[in-house]
Amino acid sequence: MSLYTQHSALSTQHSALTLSQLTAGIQEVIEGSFSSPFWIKAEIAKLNHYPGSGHCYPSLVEKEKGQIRAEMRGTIWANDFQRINANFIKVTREPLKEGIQILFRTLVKYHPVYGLSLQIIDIDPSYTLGEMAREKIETIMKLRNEGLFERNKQLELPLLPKRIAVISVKTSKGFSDFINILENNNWGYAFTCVLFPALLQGDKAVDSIAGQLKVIGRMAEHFDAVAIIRGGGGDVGLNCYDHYLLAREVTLCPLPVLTGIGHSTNETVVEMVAAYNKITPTDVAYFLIQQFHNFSVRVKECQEKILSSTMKMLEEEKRRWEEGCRRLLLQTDNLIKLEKNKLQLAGSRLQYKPGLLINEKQIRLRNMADWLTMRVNQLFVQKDQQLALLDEKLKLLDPQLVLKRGYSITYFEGKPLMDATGLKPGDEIHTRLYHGKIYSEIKLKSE
Amino acid sequence: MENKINYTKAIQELEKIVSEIEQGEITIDILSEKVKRASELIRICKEKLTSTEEDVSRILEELKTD
Repeated sequence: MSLYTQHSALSTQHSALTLSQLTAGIQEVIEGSFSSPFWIKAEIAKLNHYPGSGHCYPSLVEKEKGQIRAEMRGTIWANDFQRINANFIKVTREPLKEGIQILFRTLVKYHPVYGLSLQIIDIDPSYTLGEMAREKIETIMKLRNEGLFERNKQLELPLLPKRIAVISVKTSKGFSDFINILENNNWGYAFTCVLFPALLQGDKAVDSIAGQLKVIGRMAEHFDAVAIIRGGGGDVGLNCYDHYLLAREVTLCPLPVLTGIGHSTNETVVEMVAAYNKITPTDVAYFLIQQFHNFSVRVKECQEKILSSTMKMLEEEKRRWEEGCRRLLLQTDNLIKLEKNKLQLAGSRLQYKPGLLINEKQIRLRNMADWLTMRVNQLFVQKDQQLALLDEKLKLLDPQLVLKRGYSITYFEGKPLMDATGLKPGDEIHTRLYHGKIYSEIKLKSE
Repeated sequence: MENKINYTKAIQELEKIVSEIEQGEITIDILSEKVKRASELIRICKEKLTSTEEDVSRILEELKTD
């Protein structure tokens, strides 16, 4: 090659080429050696598509075990990009983007100003899984085999995740967005965030984040959850989140891990194994606030249910009471009506019965009067007869009649004499006869 | 941790009372007692939303000594 010959010759003469002579030489060598296109496989680390011009300058990388082995700038001119991207979408249903492995047909180009680049003239969309994706799958398989993949997801997030261990960078936009949303929420929900600073991208992020996860794990009782917050950085260097060691540390964390890594590439393994992947820092913050809302709603629902149920119970009780009262009144009313009827019936009987009684008594009285009259008459008759008899007897006792039969009554000193005792000779006595009296002087007496 | 258990238990107890009332398992005689307990639990739960659980500085100090 003439350039090398020239170079060695010139250097001995201490003369120099201009830069453009050098670049022209380089260009000649490169384009001479790589005159025909090659099929190359590489990963698009960053797409760098400019919609204005339509040109695309992808950053192409090759990695091994998470480390970048080679990196080159690519160029896809606007016309080619449209065709290639359309075809890519048609086959993969995804547009060309960062983080994918591509198999592409390229010309090696050298430009004196822009340097070395690969001019991509075609991409084989069937070749979609790159080394990054394979590494990712390997990580996933390994975690699954170890039974760790679902481990963090199985942790229960406290009803109120208010104490958050944040793995982030203090000066990052993601972190300040996250803190702002939590601290200035409109509902006065109280969060306590403690920052555990760590590198969030690049190969060193693996150890940095894993180390902080270990620290947090040792003081897990002070926290409800871990949030990995990244935002504002580019999308290059995120393959650390597919790294086995970091993903494993996330699965082993005793607290539920929430991720807000803030990128637009495929979900990383860390995000897959985290209890909750909310993609952006703001979404993690809103998710936490939502937990508070959920709790608040539960409490409010209880409050409303208790209120309405209690009111319902009281109303039912009142209704039952009123129903009871109504029935009591009805029953009482019926009873009163019933008793009233009985009374009326009894009353009407009473009105009727005294008449009967009086009649009865009157009849009895009349009968008795009749009987009495009869009895009295009978008595009169009886007495008349007795009197008549007595009269007969009395007539027999009449002294005149006795005197008529020859008896006489002797009186001494005006009294009839039944005994001779006390009489002495010379006493004057008189004797009454049926006809007339005789006066005598006692001459002799015998006893 | 204790507080976490407390408010978790509080809402569980609260929801139990609600279901008891809704299922008609509570008689009118003990209703007022239950409502009183429920309002206490509601207060505990609402306080949890806005009260700061732990002193940040205490955690930070623990971090330094770690």
